[in-house]
Amino acid sequence: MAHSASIEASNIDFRGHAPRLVTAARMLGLIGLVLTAIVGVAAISMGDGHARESIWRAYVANLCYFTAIGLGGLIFVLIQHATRAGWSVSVRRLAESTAGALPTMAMLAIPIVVVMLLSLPGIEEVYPWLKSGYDRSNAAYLNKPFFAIRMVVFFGIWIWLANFFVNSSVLQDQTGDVRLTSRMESRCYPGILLYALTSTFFVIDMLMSMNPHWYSTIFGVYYFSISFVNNVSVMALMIFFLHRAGFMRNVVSNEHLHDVGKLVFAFTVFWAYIGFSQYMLIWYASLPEETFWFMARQSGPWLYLSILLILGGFFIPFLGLISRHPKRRAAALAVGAAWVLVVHWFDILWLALPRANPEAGAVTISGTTLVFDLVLSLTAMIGIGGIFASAVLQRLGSASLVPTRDPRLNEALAFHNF
Amino acid sequence: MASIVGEVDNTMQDPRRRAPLVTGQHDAASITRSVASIAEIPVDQTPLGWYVGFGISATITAILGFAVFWLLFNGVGVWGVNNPAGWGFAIINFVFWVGIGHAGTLISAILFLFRQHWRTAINRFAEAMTIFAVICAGLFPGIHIGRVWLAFYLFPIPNQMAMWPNFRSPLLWDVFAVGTYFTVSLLFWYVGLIPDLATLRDRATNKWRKLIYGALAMGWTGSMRHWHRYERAYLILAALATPLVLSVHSVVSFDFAIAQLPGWHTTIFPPYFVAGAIFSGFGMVVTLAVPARQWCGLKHIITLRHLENMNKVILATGSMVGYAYAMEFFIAWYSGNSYEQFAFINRAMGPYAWAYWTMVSCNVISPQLFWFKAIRTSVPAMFIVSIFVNIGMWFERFVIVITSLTQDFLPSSWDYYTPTAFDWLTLLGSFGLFFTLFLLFCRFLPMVAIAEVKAIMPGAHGAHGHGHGDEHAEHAPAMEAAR
Amino acid sequence: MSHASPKTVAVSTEPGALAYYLLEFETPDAIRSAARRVNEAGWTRWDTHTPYPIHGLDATMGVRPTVLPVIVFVCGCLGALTGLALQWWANASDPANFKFIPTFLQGYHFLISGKPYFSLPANIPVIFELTILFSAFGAVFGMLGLNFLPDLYNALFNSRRFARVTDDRFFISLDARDPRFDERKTREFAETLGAAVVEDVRHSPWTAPPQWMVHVGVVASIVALVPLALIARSWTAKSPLPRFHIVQDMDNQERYKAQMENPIFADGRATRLPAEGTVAIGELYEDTHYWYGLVDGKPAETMPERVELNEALMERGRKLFDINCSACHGYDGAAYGAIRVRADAIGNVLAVRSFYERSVMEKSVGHLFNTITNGFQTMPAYGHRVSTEDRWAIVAYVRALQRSRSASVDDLTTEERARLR
Repeated sequence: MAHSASIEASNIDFRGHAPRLVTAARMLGLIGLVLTAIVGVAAISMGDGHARESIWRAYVANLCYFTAIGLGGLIFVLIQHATRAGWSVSVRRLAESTAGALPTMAMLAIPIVVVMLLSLPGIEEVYPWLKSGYDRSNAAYLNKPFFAIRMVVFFGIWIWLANFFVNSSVLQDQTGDVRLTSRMESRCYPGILLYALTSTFFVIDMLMSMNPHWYSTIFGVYYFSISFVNNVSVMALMIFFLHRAGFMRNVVSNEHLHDVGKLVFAFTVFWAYIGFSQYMLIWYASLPEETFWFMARQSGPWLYLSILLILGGFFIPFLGLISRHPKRRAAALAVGAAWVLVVHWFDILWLALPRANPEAGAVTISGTTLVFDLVLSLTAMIGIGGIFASAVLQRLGSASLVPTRDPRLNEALAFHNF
Repeated sequence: MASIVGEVDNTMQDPRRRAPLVTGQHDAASITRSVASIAEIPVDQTPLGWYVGFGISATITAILGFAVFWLLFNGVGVWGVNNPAGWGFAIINFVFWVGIGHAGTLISAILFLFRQHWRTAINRFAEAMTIFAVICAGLFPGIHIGRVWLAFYLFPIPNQMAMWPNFRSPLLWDVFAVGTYFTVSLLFWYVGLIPDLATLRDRATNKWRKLIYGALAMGWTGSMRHWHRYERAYLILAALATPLVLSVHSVVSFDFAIAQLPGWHTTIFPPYFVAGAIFSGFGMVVTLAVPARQWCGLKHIITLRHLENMNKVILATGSMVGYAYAMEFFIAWYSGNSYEQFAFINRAMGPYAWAYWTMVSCNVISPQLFWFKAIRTSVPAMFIVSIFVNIGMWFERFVIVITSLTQDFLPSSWDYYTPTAFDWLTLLGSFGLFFTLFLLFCRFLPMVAIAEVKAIMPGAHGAHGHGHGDEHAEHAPAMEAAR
Repeated sequence: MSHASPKTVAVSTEPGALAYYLLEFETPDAIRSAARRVNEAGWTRWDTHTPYPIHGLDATMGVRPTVLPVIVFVCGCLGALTGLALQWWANASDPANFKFIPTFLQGYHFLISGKPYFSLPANIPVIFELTILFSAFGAVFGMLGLNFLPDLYNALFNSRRFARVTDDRFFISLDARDPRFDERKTREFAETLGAAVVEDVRHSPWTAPPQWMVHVGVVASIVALVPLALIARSWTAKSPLPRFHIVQDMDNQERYKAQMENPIFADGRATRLPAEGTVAIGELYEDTHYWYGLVDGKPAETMPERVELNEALMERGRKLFDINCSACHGYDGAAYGAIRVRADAIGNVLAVRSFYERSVMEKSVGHLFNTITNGFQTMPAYGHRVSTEDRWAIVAYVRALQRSRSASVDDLTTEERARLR
């Protein structure tokens, strides 16, 4: 059709630019990891009891943060296939590229499993169930071997799903085989089920089990909301930068941008809804076995973080993105998306960093610990984020930026909002 | 340029083209005719079947009237509620009916925002279903308070006793949530009806019909300047109804979840209730759509593909409900809290195990049949499954309310809840009320959103398509189609 | 789609001025290109009419984006504020600060399950619902208002052809009120637009409603005010009647009350006696001095040990005496209380003892305690309404009153004597 001609190869071919960026991101990531290691050793040797765990908390938080983006990409792709979406074909490759970084995240998860198996200093304070005397009934679930097996299973499933959907999509660029679309459609439904279960248990294992006494059935949904909103924000940022560099200009229009913006907005509200539901129910019932977790997040420096999340996670993006105009301007949407990404980075820190004790509620930490916490979170963010970015860029550079022979591409190109 | 669509199997899956949403040879005029003529049948030509159906449901509504009268005359003692189960059928039926309503809003609002054009065939009667279901739902808390003439205590009305309601009570949130939900659903429904009421007005041959439909259509002329604001208002209402529908069943779930009772107090309740509500509502939409399209000759508008899509939504939401059940069980075990653990083991093995397993088989297992396309596209099979879904979701509320209340922390207060005949009659009667209202709606109002269906037909917007600009001037109009 | 020479319809037969030229089209494309030309010709008072919204036709017509979203946003903010203010006012405001507000409108501190009066997490659902409700009202009524609907009269409906606007035809109406409108030139212009039909639409003559309708309307309006008037009256009126009691069962239930006869038990009492030989918790009255004012069966001469004589006890005794005893005995105990004074005035006899009679002065404290508890002659018993501790406080106060009338100089301190001198 008429549009196929308008997609010029140079416009959607990122291959020439990717390697330089991949190398830069990888260097940045390595620097970040080295810095994390240096500061981490300092924390373990110099810090007080609470600082010893800072390195592991910072590492796990950032691992969960970037895995969330990759998982968000995976579920985005799965949902687009499940609903046979037409509009999103032109931006689907962006989500495929973040999902394609999941194998790299698996590599980055290995160290934390090894640290647990070796019981390195500080890790037992992060995960009290690692201690030898731990004998709560859920010890049958929270123990070293089962944890390691689960991580292998989770990442195995994700890598398998991501590879299948990304590779099939890329293969279609060459063959133009319509049956690939049908095959992806029929596999995405069980894929969504697998995603829901693995993502839930992953975050229960990684973050909720930091307080093995504490439990909340909505925790997996909360993590899902973070993954989704993070991924669509990353997509909005990618569109902005690719447009600036002259890519995808006539493939991804303001209409697509508007839809991505709507998803950022909608899932910001969804995140607030899930977060509020969790808080309100625990606040109202006021059972000490549940409230201590929030008490820890309402005391000391974490109180300010909680307020930041309420204002920055909901009110600011809500008011900023409610109008259609910012959603239709790449630069404005990019600012909003970047803000959302930063807030949800703090959101994950809010889940991972505060120390809580079921008996005492909040655990006061010293200024040194706080500094170690934050510095390590930042360096780990640079480290893991750099490696993650390099994996995403590599994916972006390994195929065209748009599934060129997807049967619904024309529909996407002709797409208009109401 | 009337559209000409060949007779196709519109459940096919060809990624290269979208299936037509209206099958057969149809143009705007024939769509108008086929929908409007149902509401225009003269009184003396009304099919006997309608009278039979209306007679049965009106009789059942009369039973409801009697059951409510008896309740008010004698007090709530005629029901089976007593310590420890102070909440019985009234709250179960309330939650059940509110949940049924949610599918209508999902179809009218959420699918609209997701540009699922197939919704246009079913949104009108699904929204009507929402309104009637919320009426049935609102009945139960109303009569449960015992002294209905004091029901205004629920609202913050200044009064000589200087008495205000307690705004920290979830039951009061319910008043606001369900009240807002009913109002907004009614407005949404009415706004959608305006152009179609104008169609009925313009086709009316009888003076009274012209007067009544004319008054309801408010002088609609199809002006594009009006359509412009109308479409924006409709979009905004959809964007408002979407969080509203989530909030309503979340607030309903707060009735339970803010308590400390094991089995009630769990944080996943809000999204879990919302998914369950949409699940049950879609069950009801399929239950109603299957006979309605058959008897009203609307098979070309409510096609097999529409039904298949609804069955997919049932499968998806049923799986979400299954996820929530699994999460509750897992966390109850994981928590190490013996009361939590007991509550869930008791559900599955205790005195109400029969209700629990009815719920699981109807809600989790029966929709799994929809993994098979043959079942998903078989009208009798989907009708049966949809009935199971309705039953299962009623039992879900029964299980939640009754098992937790009758066996709480204190074994000495345990008891077995037995509903009385008046509990059953009121439940039965609420179905009578629902179907009476629904039959009246089918008889006098357009069952399908005529204007919206016309707008999604091929060629409806001319060769220039969405002419916002010229860059896409040549795209084929066949894009507007089912997902 | 070649309508170069449209069919001309005879001028409408109805009387009245020309209101519109109505152009009929059969396809969306035809009306789109015609609309573009009308817009380009600079028309302002004209419109297109379609059975369903045609994508982009509003832009082609030059319709500017509606202000509706702003209205909705403002309404939503108003709803949120209303929700917040209402909940704070009703459950968390302090009426002491708002005395100028009528009582029935005042809020107050409403304590529930130990939650703060102003509990934001618990207030969010209502704030949210009101935000949505107000926004939806803004969207619907804003849309209707901006569209000037409901519209009671529109000349377009005088065209029979126009009935198909809600079916399958597309129309352009050129309004006679447009400054560019000219009966002849506009017609010529209209005929070049490719319409299938061009029709004149004329205003219908004004016909007054029938007389009976006016009468019915007036009567109905007056009758509609009656309930409002009744409500307004009952806001201010006072009534000696008890309020409506529609269904008695909730208030007057079928059950056994104390002292009623009950055939279920052999002794026929509804009230059950405690099992023989048992004592309820807190009801073992071993200390007869304290509980009955008796020592070895005789009225006690001294205050019980459990009652500590101090300023607080005397103050309490005075307060309770003023409440319970002064009506008859008078604030000073001289037997001239308000009731006694009134009885004397109307010629009744009320036997009230003065505390200063010798016989009363000589009574022991145990005796006084017993009199208060069980009553004496015309004096009723107070044991059931004044607690034991408080009765002893009254006894102490009565003794102090008696002492005040028979004090000697020796009772005064040196300082006080010096002052009196």
